[in-house]
Amino acid sequence: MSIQWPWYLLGLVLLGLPWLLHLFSRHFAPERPFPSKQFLEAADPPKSRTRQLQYRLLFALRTLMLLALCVLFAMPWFNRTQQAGDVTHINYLVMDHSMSMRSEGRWESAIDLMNAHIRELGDEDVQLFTFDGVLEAATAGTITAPGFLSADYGDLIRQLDARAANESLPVHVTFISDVQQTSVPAHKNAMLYGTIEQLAIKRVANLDAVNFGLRAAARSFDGVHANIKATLSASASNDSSQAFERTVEVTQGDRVVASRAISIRAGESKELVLEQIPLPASNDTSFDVRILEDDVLAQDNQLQVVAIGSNPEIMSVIQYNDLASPAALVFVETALRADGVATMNMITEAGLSSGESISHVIAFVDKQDRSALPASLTDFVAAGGNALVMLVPNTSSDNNSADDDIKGSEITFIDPVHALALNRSDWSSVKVYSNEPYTARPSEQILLQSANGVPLLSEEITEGGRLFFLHDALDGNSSNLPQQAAFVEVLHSLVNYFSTHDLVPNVIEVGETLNLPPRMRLIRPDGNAIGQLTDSGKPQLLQLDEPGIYTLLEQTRERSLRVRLDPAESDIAAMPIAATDAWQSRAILGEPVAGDAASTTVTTGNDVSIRQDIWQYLLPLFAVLLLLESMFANRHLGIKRDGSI
Amino acid sequence: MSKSANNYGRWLKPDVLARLGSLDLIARTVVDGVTHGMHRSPNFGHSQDFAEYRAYNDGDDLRFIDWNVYARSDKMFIKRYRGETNSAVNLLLDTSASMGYGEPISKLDYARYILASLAYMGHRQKDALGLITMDEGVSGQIEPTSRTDSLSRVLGLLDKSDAGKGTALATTIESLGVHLNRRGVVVLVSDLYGEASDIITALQTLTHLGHEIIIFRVLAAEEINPTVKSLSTLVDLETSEKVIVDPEFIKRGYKKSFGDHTEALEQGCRRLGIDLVTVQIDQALDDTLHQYIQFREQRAQ
Repeated sequence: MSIQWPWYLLGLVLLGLPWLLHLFSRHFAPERPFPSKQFLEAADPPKSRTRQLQYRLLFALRTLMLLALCVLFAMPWFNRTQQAGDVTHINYLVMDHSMSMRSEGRWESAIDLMNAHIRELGDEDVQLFTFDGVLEAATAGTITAPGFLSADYGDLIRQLDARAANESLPVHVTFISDVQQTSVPAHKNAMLYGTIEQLAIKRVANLDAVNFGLRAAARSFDGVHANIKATLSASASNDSSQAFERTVEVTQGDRVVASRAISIRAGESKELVLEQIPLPASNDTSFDVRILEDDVLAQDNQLQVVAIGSNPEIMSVIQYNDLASPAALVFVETALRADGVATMNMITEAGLSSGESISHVIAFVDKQDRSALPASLTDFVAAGGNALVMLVPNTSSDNNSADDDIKGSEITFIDPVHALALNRSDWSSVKVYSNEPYTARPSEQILLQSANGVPLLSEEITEGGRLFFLHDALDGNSSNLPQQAAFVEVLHSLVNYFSTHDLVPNVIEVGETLNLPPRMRLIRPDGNAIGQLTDSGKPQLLQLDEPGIYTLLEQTRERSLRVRLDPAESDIAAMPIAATDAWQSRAILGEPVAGDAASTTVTTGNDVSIRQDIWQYLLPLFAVLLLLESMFANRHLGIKRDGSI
Repeated sequence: MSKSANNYGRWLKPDVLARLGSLDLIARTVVDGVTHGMHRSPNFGHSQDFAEYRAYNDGDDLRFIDWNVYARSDKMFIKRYRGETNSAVNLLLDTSASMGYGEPISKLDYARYILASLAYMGHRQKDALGLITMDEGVSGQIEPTSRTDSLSRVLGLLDKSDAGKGTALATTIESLGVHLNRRGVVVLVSDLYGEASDIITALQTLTHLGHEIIIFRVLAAEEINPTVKSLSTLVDLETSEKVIVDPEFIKRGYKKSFGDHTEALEQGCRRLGIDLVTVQIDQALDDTLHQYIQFREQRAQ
C-alpha cells in the first residue's frame, strides 16, 4: 500500500472547524433600538474582555491539540515527502528464481535477506522482481518458491537495463542470488550493465555443499533391449576435490532393472552405460533413473526416460553420376545411424523410378544440375516423396577451388522460425570454405547461410513432397560441416521431419518454448492437458516449466516428449567472490550468507500496511472526538454573559 | 372607571384601529364607541348651562349683569355659564424621535389616535381646537378656532406628523406661553423624556396662565420592563448613541431610575394640579378616552 495518504488532508480541513465553531459562537452584543439612553448605564467592559481572553486561550489550546494530532498521524506522509525530496534513485530488488535456488537452505536465506533489505530501506519504495530467465514483478507477501528454470545473468542484465531505461531516475539493483557459475553467459560482456546505475549482489550459498546431477537417455536398437546412458555430474560450493561414491539405479515400476556404483569428484562429469536392459512387454518403455544417495538438490537426482528408436526410419541414398565421395557416404550413414534414428539403403535411379516403397531419399546431384534436377528425382518429389539433395561440385569443371576462403566463413544466418528448429543446434563451429556465389530460385528459401553469402541449407517449395538442398559435398573440403555435431542434429531433424510430418522434438529442456502444431495436444505428467485444440491452423507456443514425461496426442497416435532439467542448474558451484566483485563494479561487496541462516526472524511488509490502515481511521476519529468535545465545552462553559458563574 | 368601559376596550385595540388608516375614521370609531350606551351624555358644561354668580367688578361686561337679581336685591352680579370656561382645547403632540419607538404601532401613532379622538370629541362639543407639534421646538401649529373645518385641519396636521429629531420638551413647553394666550384645556401627549424638574417647571408656566392641563404619558411596555437577557447594545433613537448594557443593570438600575423619574413627574403634576395619565401603547384607546372624560367631569364639578 502506498503511504501517500490523501486522508490526512481531511485532518487539515478539520483544523479549521474549531475556528469556525468559535467564530460562530462568539458573543456579539446584539444591537436594538431604544427610545432614550436617559436611564441607561454602560455595562462594565473589563468583565467582557476577561471572558474573551479566556476563550482565545481555549481556542488556541484546542487548535494546537488538533494540529498536533494531525501532524502526528500525517507523519508517514511527511516522512515520505521528505524522503521523496531526497530520492535520487529507484531500488530494484531481484530474487534469483532459478532451480539452483531450491538447493537446501538457499531460498530461505534469500527470503531472510529480502526482508532485511526491505526493512533496511524503510518506507522507501522497493520494486521486487524474480528472475528465472524472465524478469517478473513480484510482491514480498506472495513470492513463491523457485521453479525448475535456469538463469542466465546476461539475460538478467539485458532485461534490467531495458526496464531501467523507462524509469525517470537511476536504478539501483540488489540481486539476491547463489551467483551460479554456470549462469554466467559465454560472452561475459553481456553481464556489463549500462542503464542501471548500481548493482549490489547478496550471495546465498550452502557452505561445503555438494550436489550431483543426473541426465539419462534410453535407446533401443532391436526393440527388445534398451541401452541407458546416464551422465552423472558433481559440483561443490567450495573448492573440494573429495571423491564421492554414488549409485545409479534404474527401475521400471517397482522392479530394479539395473544398478551401477560410480566414484566421482566435484567438478567431474562421468558417463555410464547400462546395457541390455530388457524392454517390458507392454507399450510402456519408460524407466526411472535415480541416484540413491541424497544431496542438497533433490530435484535433479532422478528422472524418467523413455526408450526410443526401436523402429528406425529407412533413408534411401542415391547418387547420380557416382558423385558421392566415400567419405560423404560414411558421414551420412554414421549420422543416420547415430542413436538408431535411421538406417541407410543405397538405391539406383531405376529403383527410384520403379515405384518401390520409398518415402525419403538422400540424393547426391551435380551442382551444375541444380536448375535442372534429374527427372526421376523431380518425379519422386512431385509424387509426394521427400528428398535431401546434396549438391556436389563436379571436380572436373570446378575452377573456383582456388578462390575458396581458407579460413572459412561462419554461419551467420539461421532461419529462426523454420520447423526444423535449426537455431537449437550449435552452428558456431561450422565453417564454410566455398566462396562461390549462389542465386536462390524464387521458390527457394535459404535456411542456413555463411557470412560471405554462400548458402548451406535451403528448401524449395513444391507441390508434392519436401525438397531440401544441402550445398555441400560432405567431403570435408567445402565445409567442416560433416565433422560437427550440428550435422548429425540437422540430419536427425530432417528424418524426423520427413517421417512424422511434425517437428516436435522428443526431448527439450525445461523452460524451452515448444512449437506445438495445430491439432496436437500435450498432456502434462500429472495428466492435465496443455493448450487448446483449435482449427485455426496456427501452432501454439507453449513454455514447459516442469520436468517430466509429457504425452503428445495426435489424431492417430501418441508419443512421448521428455522435458529435462537444464544440467547447468545442477551445478551449484558459485562464482568466485572476485568475479562477483568485478561484476558489481566493486560498488558493494556481497557477503556470503550461511545456509543455516534460515531461522532468522523476519517482519514482512504486511505489518506496515496494517499499521497504515489503522491510521486512516484513527485520524478522522480523533479529530471528530476533539470537535465534539469542543462543541460540548462551548455549550457548557458555565460562565454567564455578565461574567458571573 | 366603569365596568362597561372595560368591555368596550375589547374592540378598540390600537393595532386594530391602525388598520382603519384614516385618523378621522379612527377618531369617530373611538368616540362613538365610548359614548354609545352611556347613561349620561358627555356634552356637559357647554352651551348656556348656569355655573355661578360673581359680584360685579369694574370693567366687567355690562351685558352679563343679571338684572333680575339687581331688581330684587339692588346688587349687581355677573352670571357665568359652564360652556364659556373651557371652550379652547389645545392639543400638544411630542414628535421627538423617541416617540417613534414601539411595536406593532409606535408611540407616536398611539398619540395621534388619542389626539384625533379628543379633537373629534371637542369638535362635536363645539370646542375651539388647536394643535401644536413639537420635537426640538415647535414644528407645527394650528391656532385654536371654532370654525367648522378646525377638525379637518387638526387631523391633517396630525396625519403629517412624523417622529422627528431629538427632544427639547421642557424648553419647548416653556416657550408655548406666547402661543397659548387663550385659556383653556391643554392636552399634552408625550413620553416625557427629559429632566423631570425641567418639565415640571415648564408646565408650571402654562398653569400660571390659567390652563387646565392633562398629560397622556405614552409608553411602550418595553420601556417600563425592558427584556434584555444578554449583553446588548441599545441604540438611542434620538442621539444614535450606542450603549452596551448588562441585563443585571436593566433588572435593577434601569427600573430604579425610571421609577424615580416617573415619581418626580407625578409629584410635580400633583402639585400643579395637572392630571398625569400614563398609558401603554398596547392599551385600548377607549380606556384612555374614558380617563379624559373623567378628567373633564372632575373639572366641571
